[in-house]
Amino acid sequence: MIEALLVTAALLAIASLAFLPHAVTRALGALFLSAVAFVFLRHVGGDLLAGLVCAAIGFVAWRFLPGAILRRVAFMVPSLVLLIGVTTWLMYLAPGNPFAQEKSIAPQVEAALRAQYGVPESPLAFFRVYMERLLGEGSLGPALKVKGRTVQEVLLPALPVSLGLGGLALVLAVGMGLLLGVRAGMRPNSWADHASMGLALVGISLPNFVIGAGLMIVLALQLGWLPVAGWGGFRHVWMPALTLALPHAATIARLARSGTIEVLQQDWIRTARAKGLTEARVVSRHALQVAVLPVVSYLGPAAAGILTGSFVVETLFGIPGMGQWFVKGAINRDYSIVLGTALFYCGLITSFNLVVDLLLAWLDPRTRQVA
Amino acid sequence: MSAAQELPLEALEAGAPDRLSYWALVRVQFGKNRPAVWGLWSVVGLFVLATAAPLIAMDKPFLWIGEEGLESPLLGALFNRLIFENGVDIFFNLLLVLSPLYLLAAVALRRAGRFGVRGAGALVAAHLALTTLVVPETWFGLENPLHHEAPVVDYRARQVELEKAGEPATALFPPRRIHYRETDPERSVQPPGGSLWLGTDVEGRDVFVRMLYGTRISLTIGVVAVGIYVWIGVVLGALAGYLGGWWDVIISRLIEVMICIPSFFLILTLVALVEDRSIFQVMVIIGVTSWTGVARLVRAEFLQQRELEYALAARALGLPRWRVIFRHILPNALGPVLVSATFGVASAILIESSLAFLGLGDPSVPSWGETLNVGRLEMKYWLIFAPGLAIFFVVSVFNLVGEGLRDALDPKLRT
Repeated sequence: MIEALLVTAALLAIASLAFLPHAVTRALGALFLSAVAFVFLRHVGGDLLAGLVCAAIGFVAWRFLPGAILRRVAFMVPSLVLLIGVTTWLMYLAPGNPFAQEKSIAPQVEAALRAQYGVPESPLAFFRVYMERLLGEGSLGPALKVKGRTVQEVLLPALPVSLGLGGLALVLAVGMGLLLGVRAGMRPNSWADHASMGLALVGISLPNFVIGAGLMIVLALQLGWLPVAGWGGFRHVWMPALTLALPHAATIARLARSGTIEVLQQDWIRTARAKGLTEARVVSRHALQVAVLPVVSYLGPAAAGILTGSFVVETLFGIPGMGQWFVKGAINRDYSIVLGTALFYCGLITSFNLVVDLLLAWLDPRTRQVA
Repeated sequence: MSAAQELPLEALEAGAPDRLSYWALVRVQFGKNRPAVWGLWSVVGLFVLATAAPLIAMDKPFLWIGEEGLESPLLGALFNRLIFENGVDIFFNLLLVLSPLYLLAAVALRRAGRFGVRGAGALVAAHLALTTLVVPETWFGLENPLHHEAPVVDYRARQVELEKAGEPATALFPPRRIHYRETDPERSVQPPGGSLWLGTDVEGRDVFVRMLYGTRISLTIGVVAVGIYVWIGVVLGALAGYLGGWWDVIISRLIEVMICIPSFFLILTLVALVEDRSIFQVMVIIGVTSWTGVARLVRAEFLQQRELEYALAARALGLPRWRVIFRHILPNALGPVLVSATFGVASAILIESSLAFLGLGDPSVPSWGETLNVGRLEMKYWLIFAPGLAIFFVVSVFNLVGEGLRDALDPKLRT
């Protein structure tokens, strides 16, 4: 009950940030930014040095960063704390706990385990322990179900795997989507248009695990071109990346198509054509920059989709990435792993969305005035 | 449908476009979109298939003439909770038995000229109410008299017995004499062939039959999950958009915080944290996590509509606020919601099959994703392609209808 009240209060507090004057949210954003940097940096250079560096970071941010970014940061950091709180609460609400085993253990043993791993009986106490550890030591705590390792030690090797896979998938999705979509948009209602839009419908409707399993059977088992599953070499990356990319490539193709069609009807395109430019130059130099705007704003959701899609794809291909740890942690009630991955995913996605918004503002002057 | 299509078209050609209501225009536009119409009929076909599943595959005969004379074991089995323990199955079985009645009612309403959205809605509501009456074992602690359990008789074995005894019983079985839960260790992982149209899975269950009954699960997941989140989204969005002020601030912030958390991630967390999950819990979890999109749409519509004159007129009449919101503005704000709900059905079906694929579904229901999961572990093509194509078909059909609706509602968006 008290947890529900606290969560509501925290939500209201974050909501009320919107009413603060600009200068205050600016300062808060800079403060939060330097605080986050401090938590990371104090292990590298000690308290004093880190404090000085972070004060400098905060000042520079406050002085020079656009208000829009600082406001976003001011919302982001408390939201992540709220995320930790809500996830903790939900985990404690769920039946079972990390120390429950098939044969019941003595209460003294359980109490000792709880003390050793820092998992008290109540969610509030756990939240306090977790936050103190996170802020004080910059540590995500010991993994409860992987003996003798901390969450960082478990997740850090998985990080490049997930990021590499996701990055390649994003590049593939944008590349394929733009190629198909722009070509289709240049000649609407031609056979190429119908073919690529048909393909896009298939891509959107096929779940990624079906694509993955199908690719596995065709490319790996029947043709033997690529290894079936696993992780390691260059050849292992392609199938999972393609699996992750295809649904998003389909959406990007549609967005690029409608963007291109709309842009090509504008007056300035007619002007460009009237100047005698080749069609290729008209599209690549004049139209594309505007036609890709919807695609850029889709990059945020696409990145989120690719990251969460990696839960399924990593399980399917047996890839040792973050997604697999998250699924395992949630099933095993490994509270620290769940919180660690949740923080990682949400932090990554919100920062990526921020970057996308900045990119959009840079590409499209119309949105700049609002910010 | 076709008669309804032709009528407004003729009216259009007769030069009386102003006589057509908005929705009639939408219907004309929708009817011109051939893939969308085809998709709509496929959706209808899927519902018919899901309803008629026991007529195609069931281990009880329609008719049985034995020692006790004529009986219909299948009819009884439809409501026997030892045979169909799932509420979803009971819903469709009830629908199967009552469908002639509903058809008659629909025809009668149509004759009376009153079969519109409301007539259809009343029939659906009646059926839902009936299902909720029949399904639970107890009502607030009292035994439910409609909850039916009876000993399960193996009619196939009895038929063989009676034949051996020299007095064969006359029995009329459905084409596939098998129940979707029936396991057979001797038939584990058989490829398609003979009477096994789509092979068997690890436990020797007939994949075709499981796919057939899986249609029920997928459709229910889609419709119920979307139903839940459309309700939440519409109410919150309407409050935020119409009332504004603090309501708007709180609801908008809530939406923003929810959007920060990717929905599949949230769903996965919640589902993994529920123990012994049932398919209904999965539906509720998908429903309560996915309402943000609808809420934003409805909020934006309300912000626009509340400034229009008809809304002012309704307010000036002194109508209570809820009436202005839900009876006057809401019907005008529902177009985009309808489109997003149709796409939502497709994505809810995808989400459920992903969950089942990760082994986080309800193991007691014949979900397509679960068959796929088995197929992935066994690497057998029939266990992957059959459910994979089924999911693809259902999802793309709903997507086609959604696109048709979107284009029909807002011709500007069509490119």
